[in-house]
Amino acid sequence: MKKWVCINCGYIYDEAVGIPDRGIAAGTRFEDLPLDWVCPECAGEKDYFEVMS
Amino acid sequence: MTATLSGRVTLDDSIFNPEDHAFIRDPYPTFRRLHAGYPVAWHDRLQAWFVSSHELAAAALRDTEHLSIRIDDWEYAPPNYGQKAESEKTGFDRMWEHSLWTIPRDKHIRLRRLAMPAFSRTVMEKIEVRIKDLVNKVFDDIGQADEIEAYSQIGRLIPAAAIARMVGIPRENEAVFEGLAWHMAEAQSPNLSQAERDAAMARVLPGFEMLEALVREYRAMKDPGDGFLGQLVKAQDGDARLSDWDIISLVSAVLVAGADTSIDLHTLALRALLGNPEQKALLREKPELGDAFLLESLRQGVPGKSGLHRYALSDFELGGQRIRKGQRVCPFYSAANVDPQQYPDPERFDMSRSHEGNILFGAGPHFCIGNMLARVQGLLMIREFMARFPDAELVDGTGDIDYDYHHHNARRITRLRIKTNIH
Repeated sequence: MKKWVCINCGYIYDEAVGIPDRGIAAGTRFEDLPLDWVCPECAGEKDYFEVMS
Repeated sequence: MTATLSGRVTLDDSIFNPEDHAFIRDPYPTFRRLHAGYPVAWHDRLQAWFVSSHELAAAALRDTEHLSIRIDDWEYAPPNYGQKAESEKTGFDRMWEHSLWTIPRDKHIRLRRLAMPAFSRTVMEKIEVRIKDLVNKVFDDIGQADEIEAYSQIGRLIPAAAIARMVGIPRENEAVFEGLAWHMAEAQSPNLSQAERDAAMARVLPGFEMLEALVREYRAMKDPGDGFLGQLVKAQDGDARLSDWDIISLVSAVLVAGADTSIDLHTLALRALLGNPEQKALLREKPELGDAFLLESLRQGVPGKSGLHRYALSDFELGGQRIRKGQRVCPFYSAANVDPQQYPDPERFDMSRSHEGNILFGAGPHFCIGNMLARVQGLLMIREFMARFPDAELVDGTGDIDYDYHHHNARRITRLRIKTNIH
Protein backbone atom coordinates (compact mmCIF):
# COMPACT_ATOMS: atom_id res chain seq x y z
CA MET A 1 0.00 0.00 0.00
CA LYS A 2 1.34 3.44 -0.95
CA LYS A 3 0.70 7.02 -0.01
CA TRP A 4 0.25 9.69 -2.67
CA VAL A 5 0.65 13.44 -2.17
CA CYS A 6 -1.08 16.19 -4.13
CA ILE A 7 1.63 18.58 -5.28
CA ASN A 8 -0.98 21.34 -5.54
CA CYS A 9 -2.02 21.46 -1.90
CA GLY A 10 -0.22 18.75 0.05
CA TYR A 11 -3.25 16.49 0.59
CA ILE A 12 -2.21 12.87 1.17
CA TYR A 13 -4.15 9.93 -0.22
CA ASP A 14 -3.33 6.81 1.80
CA GLU A 15 -4.31 3.64 -0.08
CA ALA A 16 -4.49 1.68 3.17
CA VAL A 17 -7.11 4.06 4.56
CA GLY A 18 -9.00 5.12 1.41
CA ILE A 19 -11.67 7.81 1.91
CA PRO A 20 -14.63 5.86 3.35
CA ASP A 21 -16.71 9.07 3.76
CA ARG A 22 -16.57 9.50 0.01
CA GLY A 23 -17.18 5.88 -0.86
CA ILE A 24 -13.54 4.96 -1.45
CA ALA A 25 -12.88 1.79 0.50
CA ALA A 26 -9.70 1.13 2.47
CA GLY A 27 -7.23 -0.67 0.25
CA THR A 28 -8.21 1.12 -2.98
CA ARG A 29 -5.11 1.63 -5.07
CA PHE A 30 -4.54 5.10 -6.50
CA GLU A 31 -4.44 3.63 -10.00
CA ASP A 32 -7.94 2.22 -9.44
CA LEU A 33 -9.48 5.59 -8.60
CA PRO A 34 -11.63 6.86 -11.51
CA LEU A 35 -9.79 8.87 -14.17
CA ASP A 36 -11.89 11.93 -13.37
CA TRP A 37 -11.24 11.67 -9.61
CA VAL A 38 -9.92 14.92 -8.16
CA CYS A 39 -8.14 15.87 -4.95
CA PRO A 40 -10.71 16.32 -2.16
CA GLU A 41 -8.85 19.36 -0.84
CA CYS A 42 -8.02 21.43 -3.93
CA ALA A 43 -9.80 19.60 -6.78
CA GLY A 44 -6.49 19.07 -8.59
CA GLU A 45 -6.57 16.26 -11.14
CA LYS A 46 -4.84 12.88 -10.73
CA ASP A 47 -1.82 14.16 -12.66
CA TYR A 48 -1.04 16.36 -9.67
CA PHE A 49 -0.42 13.38 -7.38
CA GLU A 50 2.86 11.59 -6.91
CA VAL A 51 4.02 8.70 -4.76
CA MET A 52 5.45 9.76 -1.42
CA SER A 53 8.99 8.65 -0.97
CA MET B 1 -33.52 39.12 -15.56
CA THR B 2 -33.08 40.11 -19.20
CA ALA B 3 -33.30 37.29 -21.70
CA THR B 4 -32.11 38.06 -25.20
CA LEU B 5 -33.15 36.17 -28.34
CA SER B 6 -30.23 33.83 -27.83
CA GLY B 7 -31.37 33.21 -24.28
CA ARG B 8 -28.42 35.11 -22.88
CA VAL B 9 -28.85 36.34 -19.30
CA THR B 10 -27.39 39.80 -18.94
CA LEU B 11 -26.53 42.04 -16.02
CA ASP B 12 -26.19 45.78 -15.77
CA ASP B 13 -25.04 48.13 -13.03
CA SER B 14 -28.54 48.31 -11.56
CA ILE B 15 -28.20 44.63 -10.63
CA PHE B 16 -24.49 44.45 -9.81
CA ASN B 17 -21.92 47.22 -9.77
CA PRO B 18 -18.67 46.37 -7.97
CA GLU B 19 -17.81 50.06 -7.60
CA ASP B 20 -21.11 50.98 -5.97
CA HIS B 21 -20.49 52.19 -2.42
CA ALA B 22 -23.68 50.62 -1.10
CA PHE B 23 -22.58 47.24 -2.49
CA ILE B 24 -19.13 47.60 -0.91
CA ARG B 25 -20.69 48.41 2.46
CA ASP B 26 -23.26 45.62 2.29
CA PRO B 27 -22.99 43.13 -0.59
CA TYR B 28 -25.67 40.73 0.59
CA PRO B 29 -28.70 42.33 -1.15
CA THR B 30 -26.77 42.12 -4.45
CA PHE B 31 -25.85 38.51 -3.85
CA ARG B 32 -29.47 37.61 -3.09
CA ARG B 33 -30.43 39.10 -6.49
CA LEU B 34 -27.61 37.25 -8.26
CA HIS B 35 -28.53 33.92 -6.69
CA ALA B 36 -32.20 34.39 -7.47
CA GLY B 37 -31.81 35.06 -11.18
CA TYR B 38 -28.24 35.29 -12.42
CA PRO B 39 -26.20 32.16 -11.66
CA VAL B 40 -24.21 32.81 -14.86
CA ALA B 41 -24.74 36.18 -16.50
CA TRP B 42 -23.02 38.56 -18.92
CA HIS B 43 -22.21 42.06 -17.63
CA ASP B 44 -22.26 44.44 -20.58
CA ARG B 45 -20.21 47.27 -19.09
CA LEU B 46 -17.63 45.00 -17.49
CA GLN B 47 -17.47 42.72 -20.55
CA ALA B 48 -17.37 39.56 -18.48
CA TRP B 49 -19.44 36.58 -17.45
CA PHE B 50 -20.06 36.48 -13.70
CA VAL B 51 -20.55 33.03 -12.21
CA SER B 52 -22.31 33.37 -8.85
CA SER B 53 -23.49 29.79 -8.35
CA HIS B 54 -21.10 27.87 -6.10
CA GLU B 55 -21.48 24.67 -8.10
CA LEU B 56 -20.79 26.43 -11.42
CA ALA B 57 -18.00 28.65 -10.07
CA ALA B 58 -16.24 25.55 -8.70
CA ALA B 59 -16.75 23.78 -12.05
CA ALA B 60 -15.33 26.78 -13.92
CA LEU B 61 -12.23 26.86 -11.72
CA ARG B 62 -11.61 23.17 -12.45
CA ASP B 63 -12.37 23.40 -16.18
CA THR B 64 -8.95 23.65 -17.77
CA GLU B 65 -10.30 22.34 -21.09
CA HIS B 66 -12.39 25.45 -21.79
CA LEU B 67 -10.94 28.10 -19.49
CA SER B 68 -7.46 29.51 -19.19
CA ILE B 69 -5.91 31.67 -16.48
CA ARG B 70 -3.63 33.36 -19.05
CA ILE B 71 -4.62 36.95 -19.66
CA ASP B 72 -3.12 36.56 -23.16
CA ASP B 73 -6.14 34.38 -24.00
CA TRP B 74 -8.51 37.30 -23.41
CA GLU B 75 -10.03 38.99 -26.47
CA TYR B 76 -8.88 42.31 -24.99
CA ALA B 77 -5.45 41.11 -23.79
CA PRO B 78 -3.20 44.07 -22.96
CA PRO B 79 -0.54 44.38 -25.70
CA ASN B 80 2.37 44.48 -23.27
CA TYR B 81 1.66 40.88 -22.25
CA GLY B 82 2.61 39.72 -25.77
CA GLN B 83 5.99 38.75 -27.08
CA LYS B 84 8.75 41.32 -26.72
CA ALA B 85 12.27 41.40 -28.09
CA GLU B 86 14.75 40.00 -25.58
CA SER B 87 16.42 43.39 -25.16
CA GLU B 88 13.09 45.06 -24.29
CA LYS B 89 12.05 42.61 -21.58
CA THR B 90 11.78 43.91 -18.03
CA GLY B 91 11.89 41.90 -14.84
CA PHE B 92 8.10 41.80 -14.93
CA ASP B 93 8.14 40.23 -18.43
CA ARG B 94 10.67 37.60 -17.36
CA MET B 95 8.69 36.73 -14.24
CA TRP B 96 5.55 36.53 -16.37
CA GLU B 97 7.14 34.09 -18.85
CA HIS B 98 7.90 31.70 -15.96
CA SER B 99 4.75 32.34 -14.02
CA LEU B 100 2.30 29.73 -12.76
CA TRP B 101 -0.33 31.83 -14.55
CA THR B 102 1.23 31.55 -18.00
CA ILE B 103 3.18 28.33 -18.40
CA PRO B 104 1.54 25.31 -20.08
CA ARG B 105 0.09 22.43 -18.08
CA ASP B 106 3.13 20.08 -18.21
CA LYS B 107 5.44 22.86 -17.03
CA HIS B 108 2.91 23.88 -14.38
CA ILE B 109 2.94 20.35 -12.94
CA ARG B 110 6.75 20.29 -13.02
CA LEU B 111 7.04 23.66 -11.30
CA ARG B 112 4.60 22.78 -8.54
CA ARG B 113 6.33 19.42 -8.02
CA LEU B 114 9.73 21.06 -7.68
CA ALA B 115 8.33 23.78 -5.43
CA MET B 116 6.40 21.46 -3.13
CA PRO B 117 9.25 20.83 -0.65
CA ALA B 118 9.51 24.58 -0.02
CA PHE B 119 5.88 24.56 1.10
CA SER B 120 6.22 21.36 3.14
CA ARG B 121 5.09 21.02 6.76
CA THR B 122 8.70 21.09 7.97
CA VAL B 123 9.45 24.37 6.24
CA MET B 124 6.11 25.81 7.36
CA GLU B 125 6.87 24.88 10.99
CA LYS B 126 10.17 26.74 10.76
CA ILE B 127 8.40 29.69 9.19
CA GLU B 128 5.73 29.65 11.89
CA VAL B 129 8.38 30.43 14.51
CA ARG B 130 9.56 33.47 12.53
CA ILE B 131 6.03 34.70 11.93
CA LYS B 132 5.15 34.29 15.60
CA ASP B 133 7.92 36.78 16.41
CA LEU B 134 6.46 39.16 13.89
CA VAL B 135 2.92 38.84 15.30
CA ASN B 136 4.23 39.31 18.85
CA LYS B 137 6.05 42.48 17.75
CA VAL B 138 2.85 43.86 16.20
CA PHE B 139 1.01 43.32 19.50
CA ASP B 140 3.94 44.56 21.59
CA ASP B 141 3.80 47.82 19.62
CA ILE B 142 0.08 48.12 20.41
CA GLY B 143 0.96 47.60 24.05
CA GLN B 144 -1.68 48.65 26.57
CA ALA B 145 -3.64 50.96 24.29
CA ASP B 146 -7.32 51.56 25.04
CA GLU B 147 -8.22 51.35 21.37
CA ILE B 148 -6.85 49.60 18.28
CA GLU B 149 -7.50 50.35 14.63
CA ALA B 150 -7.23 46.86 13.19
CA TYR B 151 -6.42 47.69 9.54
CA SER B 152 -3.45 49.98 10.15
CA GLN B 153 -2.17 48.41 13.37
CA ILE B 154 -2.62 44.71 12.55
CA GLY B 155 -3.96 43.80 9.07
CA ARG B 156 -1.67 46.01 7.05
CA LEU B 157 1.46 45.12 9.03
CA ILE B 158 1.51 41.33 9.04
CA PRO B 159 0.98 39.81 5.54
CA ALA B 160 3.84 41.20 3.42
CA ALA B 161 6.26 40.99 6.35
CA ALA B 162 5.18 37.36 6.92
CA ILE B 163 6.03 36.48 3.32
CA ALA B 164 9.34 38.33 3.64
CA ARG B 165 10.13 36.20 6.72
CA MET B 166 9.09 33.07 4.84
CA VAL B 167 11.29 33.85 1.84
CA GLY B 168 14.18 35.01 4.02
CA ILE B 169 14.39 38.59 2.74
CA PRO B 170 17.13 40.50 4.59
CA ARG B 171 15.63 43.16 6.88
CA GLU B 172 17.28 46.00 4.96
CA ASN B 173 15.43 44.92 1.81
CA GLU B 174 11.99 44.46 3.38
CA ALA B 175 10.76 47.89 2.21
CA VAL B 176 11.62 47.10 -1.44
CA PHE B 177 9.98 43.70 -1.06
CA GLU B 178 6.82 45.28 0.35
CA GLY B 179 6.68 47.60 -2.69
CA LEU B 180 6.72 44.50 -4.85
CA ALA B 181 4.00 42.96 -2.70
CA TRP B 182 1.59 45.88 -2.92
CA HIS B 183 1.86 46.40 -6.66
CA MET B 184 2.20 42.85 -8.05
CA ALA B 185 -1.53 42.10 -7.99
CA GLU B 186 -2.30 45.47 -9.58
CA ALA B 187 0.22 44.84 -12.36
CA GLN B 188 -1.71 41.69 -13.32
CA SER B 189 -5.22 43.05 -12.90
CA PRO B 190 -7.48 43.18 -15.97
CA ASN B 191 -9.64 45.67 -14.04
CA LEU B 192 -7.14 48.52 -14.52
CA SER B 193 -6.52 50.83 -17.45
CA GLN B 194 -3.32 50.35 -19.45
CA ALA B 195 -1.75 53.45 -17.88
CA GLU B 196 -2.55 52.25 -14.35
CA ARG B 197 -1.16 48.80 -15.13
CA ASP B 198 2.03 50.26 -16.66
CA ALA B 199 2.54 52.36 -13.53
CA ALA B 200 2.10 49.29 -11.31
CA MET B 201 4.55 47.31 -13.46
CA ALA B 202 7.17 50.06 -13.15
CA ARG B 203 6.80 50.04 -9.36
CA VAL B 204 7.64 46.33 -9.09
CA LEU B 205 10.94 46.40 -11.00
CA PRO B 206 13.24 47.29 -8.04
CA GLY B 207 11.75 44.31 -6.19
CA PHE B 208 12.64 41.94 -9.01
CA GLU B 209 16.21 43.26 -9.12
CA MET B 210 16.54 42.62 -5.39
CA LEU B 211 15.15 39.07 -5.75
CA GLU B 212 17.50 38.28 -8.66
CA ALA B 213 20.47 39.27 -6.52
CA LEU B 214 19.19 37.26 -3.56
CA VAL B 215 18.66 34.08 -5.62
CA ARG B 216 22.18 34.48 -7.02
CA GLU B 217 23.51 34.71 -3.47
CA TYR B 218 21.76 31.46 -2.54
CA ARG B 219 23.09 29.76 -5.71
CA ALA B 220 26.61 30.71 -4.69
CA MET B 221 26.27 29.22 -1.19
CA LYS B 222 27.91 25.87 -0.51
CA ASP B 223 24.90 24.93 1.60
CA PRO B 224 21.83 27.11 0.95
CA GLY B 225 20.04 25.49 3.89
CA ASP B 226 16.59 24.00 4.30
CA GLY B 227 14.59 27.21 4.42
CA PHE B 228 12.23 28.34 1.70
CA LEU B 229 14.77 29.71 -0.81
CA GLY B 230 17.30 27.02 0.08
CA GLN B 231 14.73 24.33 -0.78
CA LEU B 232 13.89 25.99 -4.08
CA VAL B 233 17.54 26.42 -5.09
CA LYS B 234 18.23 22.76 -4.29
CA ALA B 235 14.98 21.41 -5.79
CA GLN B 236 15.63 18.68 -8.31
CA ASP B 237 13.43 16.29 -10.27
CA GLY B 238 15.67 14.01 -12.34
CA ASP B 239 17.81 16.45 -14.29
CA ALA B 240 15.26 19.22 -13.93
CA ARG B 241 15.95 22.17 -11.64
CA LEU B 242 14.27 25.47 -11.06
CA SER B 243 15.75 28.43 -12.94
CA ASP B 244 16.29 31.79 -11.22
CA TRP B 245 13.15 33.19 -12.86
CA ASP B 246 11.15 30.07 -11.94
CA ILE B 247 12.01 30.84 -8.31
CA ILE B 248 11.28 34.56 -8.65
CA SER B 249 7.94 33.75 -10.28
CA LEU B 250 7.06 31.43 -7.37
CA VAL B 251 7.85 34.15 -4.83
CA SER B 252 5.75 36.51 -6.93
CA ALA B 253 2.87 34.02 -6.95
CA VAL B 254 2.91 33.87 -3.16
CA LEU B 255 3.01 37.67 -3.02
CA VAL B 256 0.07 38.11 -5.39
CA ALA B 257 -1.94 35.43 -3.66
CA GLY B 258 -1.02 36.24 -0.10
CA ALA B 259 0.13 39.79 0.62
CA ASP B 260 -2.66 42.15 -0.34
CA THR B 261 -5.43 39.56 0.09
CA SER B 262 -4.34 38.48 3.59
CA ILE B 263 -4.94 41.99 4.93
CA ASP B 264 -8.65 41.21 4.63
CA LEU B 265 -8.21 37.88 6.42
CA HIS B 266 -7.02 39.73 9.53
CA THR B 267 -9.68 42.43 9.58
CA LEU B 268 -12.51 40.04 8.71
CA ALA B 269 -11.40 37.54 11.36
CA LEU B 270 -11.33 40.25 14.04
CA ARG B 271 -14.71 41.61 13.00
CA ALA B 272 -16.18 38.10 13.05
CA LEU B 273 -14.62 37.34 16.43
CA LEU B 274 -15.92 40.46 18.12
CA GLY B 275 -19.21 40.61 16.25
CA ASN B 276 -20.23 37.09 17.28
CA PRO B 277 -19.68 36.68 21.03
CA GLU B 278 -21.11 33.16 21.15
CA GLN B 279 -18.68 32.06 18.43
CA LYS B 280 -15.82 33.71 20.30
CA ALA B 281 -16.80 31.70 23.38
CA LEU B 282 -16.90 28.54 21.28
CA LEU B 283 -13.46 29.24 19.85
CA ARG B 284 -12.09 29.81 23.33
CA GLU B 285 -13.58 26.49 24.41
CA LYS B 286 -12.45 24.63 21.28
CA PRO B 287 -9.25 26.19 19.92
CA GLU B 288 -8.99 23.30 17.46
CA LEU B 289 -11.75 25.08 15.50
CA GLY B 290 -9.30 27.88 14.66
CA ASP B 291 -8.90 26.86 11.02
CA ALA B 292 -12.67 26.54 10.58
CA PHE B 293 -13.04 29.96 12.19
CA LEU B 294 -10.70 31.48 9.59
CA LEU B 295 -12.45 29.74 6.70
CA GLU B 296 -15.83 30.99 7.94
CA SER B 297 -14.42 34.53 8.33
CA LEU B 298 -13.36 34.50 4.69
CA ARG B 299 -16.63 32.97 3.53
CA GLN B 300 -19.14 35.07 5.40
CA GLY B 301 -17.01 38.24 5.44
CA VAL B 302 -16.97 38.54 1.62
CA PRO B 303 -13.52 40.02 0.93
CA GLY B 304 -13.77 40.26 -2.87
CA LYS B 305 -15.92 42.57 -4.94
CA SER B 306 -15.56 41.08 -8.43
CA GLY B 307 -14.06 37.63 -8.89
CA LEU B 308 -11.22 35.56 -10.23
CA HIS B 309 -10.45 35.83 -13.92
CA ARG B 310 -10.50 33.16 -16.57
CA TYR B 311 -10.58 33.38 -20.37
CA ALA B 312 -12.48 31.06 -22.74
CA LEU B 313 -10.26 28.91 -24.95
CA SER B 314 -13.19 27.90 -27.17
CA ASP B 315 -16.95 28.32 -27.39
CA PHE B 316 -18.65 26.28 -24.68
CA GLU B 317 -21.69 26.15 -22.43
CA LEU B 318 -21.78 26.96 -18.74
CA GLY B 319 -25.02 26.88 -16.74
CA GLY B 320 -27.08 27.07 -19.92
CA GLN B 321 -25.18 30.10 -21.21
CA ARG B 322 -23.11 30.13 -24.41
CA ILE B 323 -19.61 31.42 -23.70
CA ARG B 324 -17.60 32.60 -26.72
CA LYS B 325 -13.89 32.01 -27.25
CA GLY B 326 -11.82 34.89 -25.85
CA GLN B 327 -14.47 36.15 -23.43
CA ARG B 328 -13.66 36.80 -19.78
CA VAL B 329 -15.33 34.55 -17.23
CA CYS B 330 -15.25 35.54 -13.55
CA PRO B 331 -15.90 32.76 -11.06
CA PHE B 332 -17.39 35.14 -8.50
CA TYR B 333 -16.13 33.42 -5.36
CA SER B 334 -17.55 36.00 -2.96
CA ALA B 335 -21.07 35.47 -4.30
CA ALA B 336 -20.53 31.71 -4.59
CA ASN B 337 -19.40 31.53 -0.96
CA VAL B 338 -22.80 32.79 0.17
CA ASP B 339 -24.83 30.70 -2.26
CA PRO B 340 -27.70 29.21 -0.20
CA GLN B 341 -27.56 26.07 -2.35
CA GLN B 342 -24.09 25.38 -0.91
CA TYR B 343 -24.32 27.06 2.50
CA PRO B 344 -27.75 27.06 4.19
CA ASP B 345 -28.51 30.36 5.93
CA PRO B 346 -25.37 31.76 4.27
CA GLU B 347 -25.35 35.18 5.92
CA ARG B 348 -25.01 33.66 9.38
CA PHE B 349 -21.49 33.23 10.80
CA ASP B 350 -21.14 29.64 11.95
CA MET B 351 -17.69 28.10 12.19
CA SER B 352 -19.24 24.72 12.91
CA ARG B 353 -20.77 24.46 9.44
CA SER B 354 -19.18 22.21 6.83
CA HIS B 355 -16.68 23.86 4.53
CA GLU B 356 -16.13 20.69 2.51
CA GLY B 357 -15.70 21.45 -1.18
CA ASN B 358 -15.11 25.15 -0.47
CA ILE B 359 -13.45 27.42 -3.03
CA LEU B 360 -12.11 29.93 -0.51
CA PHE B 361 -8.58 29.40 -1.83
CA GLY B 362 -9.70 28.56 -5.37
CA ALA B 363 -9.90 25.06 -6.83
CA GLY B 364 -8.15 23.01 -9.46
CA PRO B 365 -4.60 23.48 -10.67
CA HIS B 366 -4.39 27.11 -9.57
CA PHE B 367 -5.39 26.43 -5.98
CA CYS B 368 -3.72 29.11 -3.85
CA ILE B 369 -0.06 28.16 -3.38
CA GLY B 370 0.19 30.32 -0.25
CA ASN B 371 -2.93 29.07 1.50
CA MET B 372 -0.99 27.41 4.35
CA LEU B 373 0.97 30.58 5.04
CA ALA B 374 -2.23 32.63 5.17
CA ARG B 375 -3.80 30.18 7.59
CA VAL B 376 -0.71 30.05 9.81
CA GLN B 377 -0.47 33.85 10.14
CA GLY B 378 -4.25 34.19 10.66
CA LEU B 379 -4.25 31.63 13.47
CA LEU B 380 -1.23 33.16 15.18
CA MET B 381 -2.81 36.61 15.04
CA ILE B 382 -6.20 35.56 16.38
CA ARG B 383 -4.71 33.50 19.22
CA GLU B 384 -2.44 36.35 20.27
CA PHE B 385 -5.30 38.84 20.08
CA MET B 386 -7.55 36.65 22.24
CA ALA B 387 -4.76 36.12 24.78
CA ARG B 388 -3.95 39.83 25.11
CA PHE B 389 -7.43 41.32 24.79
CA PRO B 390 -9.92 38.74 26.07
CA ASP B 391 -12.65 41.34 26.71
CA ALA B 392 -12.25 43.43 23.57
CA GLU B 393 -15.31 44.83 21.79
CA LEU B 394 -16.06 46.65 18.55
CA VAL B 395 -16.39 50.41 19.08
CA ASP B 396 -20.12 51.28 18.99
CA GLY B 397 -20.86 47.60 18.38
CA THR B 398 -19.89 47.96 14.70
CA GLY B 399 -16.22 48.96 14.79
CA ASP B 400 -17.05 52.31 13.12
CA ILE B 401 -16.11 50.47 9.96
CA ASP B 402 -15.04 52.10 6.68
CA TYR B 403 -13.84 50.80 3.32
CA ASP B 404 -11.45 51.67 0.51
CA TYR B 405 -14.00 52.30 -2.21
CA HIS B 406 -11.35 52.42 -4.93
CA HIS B 407 -9.46 49.16 -4.38
CA HIS B 408 -9.11 47.30 -7.67
CA ASN B 409 -10.49 44.02 -6.36
CA ALA B 410 -11.16 43.92 -2.62
CA ARG B 411 -13.93 45.14 -0.32
CA ARG B 412 -11.02 46.45 1.73
CA ILE B 413 -11.84 47.42 5.29
CA THR B 414 -9.64 50.42 6.10
CA ARG B 415 -11.08 51.25 9.49
CA LEU B 416 -12.12 48.82 12.20
CA ARG B 417 -11.98 50.31 15.69
CA ILE B 418 -11.67 48.00 18.67
CA LYS B 419 -11.95 48.82 22.37
CA THR B 420 -9.39 46.70 24.18
CA ASN B 421 -11.12 46.93 27.62
CA ILE B 422 -7.89 46.10 29.43
CA HIS B 423 -8.08 48.97 31.95
